Amino acid sequence: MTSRTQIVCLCEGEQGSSIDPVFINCLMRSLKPDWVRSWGGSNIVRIVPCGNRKGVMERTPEEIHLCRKAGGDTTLMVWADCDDDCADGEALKALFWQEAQRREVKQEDFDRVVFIFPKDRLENWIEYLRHEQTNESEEGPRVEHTREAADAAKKLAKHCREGKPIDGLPPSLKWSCENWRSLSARMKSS
Amino acid sequence: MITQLYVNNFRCLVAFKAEFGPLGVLCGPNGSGKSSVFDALCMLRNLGTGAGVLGGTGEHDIPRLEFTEWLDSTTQEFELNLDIEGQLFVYAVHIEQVADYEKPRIIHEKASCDGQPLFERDTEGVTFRRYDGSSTGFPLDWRQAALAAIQPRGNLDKLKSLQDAVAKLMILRPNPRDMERESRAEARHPDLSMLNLTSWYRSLYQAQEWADSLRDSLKDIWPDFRSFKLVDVGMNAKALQLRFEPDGGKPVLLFFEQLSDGERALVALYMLRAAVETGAAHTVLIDEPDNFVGLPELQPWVLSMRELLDDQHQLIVISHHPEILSNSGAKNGHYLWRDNHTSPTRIGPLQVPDGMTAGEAIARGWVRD
Repeated sequence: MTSRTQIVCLCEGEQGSSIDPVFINCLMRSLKPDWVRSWGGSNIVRIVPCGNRKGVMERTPEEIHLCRKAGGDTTLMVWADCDDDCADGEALKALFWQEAQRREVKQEDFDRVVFIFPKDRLENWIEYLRHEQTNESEEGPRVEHTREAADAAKKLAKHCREGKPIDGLPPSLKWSCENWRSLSARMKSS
Repeated sequence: MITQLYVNNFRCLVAFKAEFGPLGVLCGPNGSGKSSVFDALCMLRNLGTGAGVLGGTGEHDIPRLEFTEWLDSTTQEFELNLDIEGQLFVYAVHIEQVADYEKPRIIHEKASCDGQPLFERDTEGVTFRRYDGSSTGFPLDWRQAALAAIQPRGNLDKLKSLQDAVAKLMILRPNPRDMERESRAEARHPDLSMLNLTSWYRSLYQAQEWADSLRDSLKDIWPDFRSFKLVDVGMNAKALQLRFEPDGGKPVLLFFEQLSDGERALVALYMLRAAVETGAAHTVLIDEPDNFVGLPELQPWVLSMRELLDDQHQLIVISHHPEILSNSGAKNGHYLWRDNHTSPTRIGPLQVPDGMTAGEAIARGWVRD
């Protein structure tokens, strides 16, 4: 493993007003995956807000190329909302793949990206984590404060560390967790 | 949480009004009045807690008033709105200084909770209501704030809430270069430059929750950090020592003064974070927290602070740093400016054009109409 091993998270979110960076940062730091570089440090997780989903989609190929050039085994996570124009995570991933192909990203590099797609948006997951239910066919209720987002992220990290199957997970959260588990398995075996 | 501040006739602040949410980022050119906003709050807090009096010469006293140069008025007005557990408190003070050779004096002071008066004061004295509803009062030295002078008893618990909230306002301009090498006594609050950081540590470290929070945060950024220790270095004097131990390596003990300026600033910032997380502080105002701190360290600190913010936990910073500005935007960002040196400070939301970073937009001045 090279010394640049870290986690870069591209996400949606307008400058400063979004809960997404707070949720993601809190989740990743609480998870503390054991394959990241051993000397740790502050920038072991780097969050890059890209505005909206279109911004994330445009930035992803560029970031894949950057990570490749940097030579480290950087984990690239792409967080975007699976809005009502996409049936599920696979459909949205296909859109990302189209854009990646247009920008000459190789399949093997694209396959290493971890896609995390909440449906309809991150607030649905937060609603689920707080109240154990959410309706993914509608936008989850607005989160008033970043503290609520952080508390939900810590709860998700706890579930994830325990590794027990959870009943009633929202489908998009289940799909995203599987992507994360595949990455964990791949990193542990390499 | 501070929801609104009004200041009139204080330096470049003329009929200045700012509204705040859980996160506030003040930015703008040099000389636009950002630090004056913090200084006004600092003055209000020192008066309101009794730490300072008008016309005195002590560290927290206000020897003379700093009026707006181009105005003729000899009265300054301050009004602070605070949301304390869902109740709106308003605290207003008017101060007068008619001539340079006269001492300044409070001519009007008033506090209310959800529109109900808590007390009122003029040049005759202070009036408020007893627990049985009857009116009472007492004369008070004009140089002293009534908020600090009234003993909260009986039905005056709301006054106590206001006193506590004002006392807990942490207004800071960290200066790691001059932080004390050793502490002679505990300090309940950090001073403006956080020079008494070790003394503040002494008053907090016995709270296990605070100590755990600080240690865990620092271990996140320095994986070899293990613990703090207060070491006796003389009669009643203690110095702060940090223990580092890399995995499988030999431990190293470093005194706080042996850390770099940036490392000392980081310890200070994460001490503040632990204070907010554990309720030792509710509203923290920091003038340029990015000074001395390395680029990799900033985003984690800002995001870790944002994790804690809600109706009762607030962070307001002054910053020029792109990494902090990118966490502001129109919702949390306040852009301050003046048209020239004889015009007052103006304030508006930080509006960043699409496709541009906040830092770039501010550098170009493309953040207001």
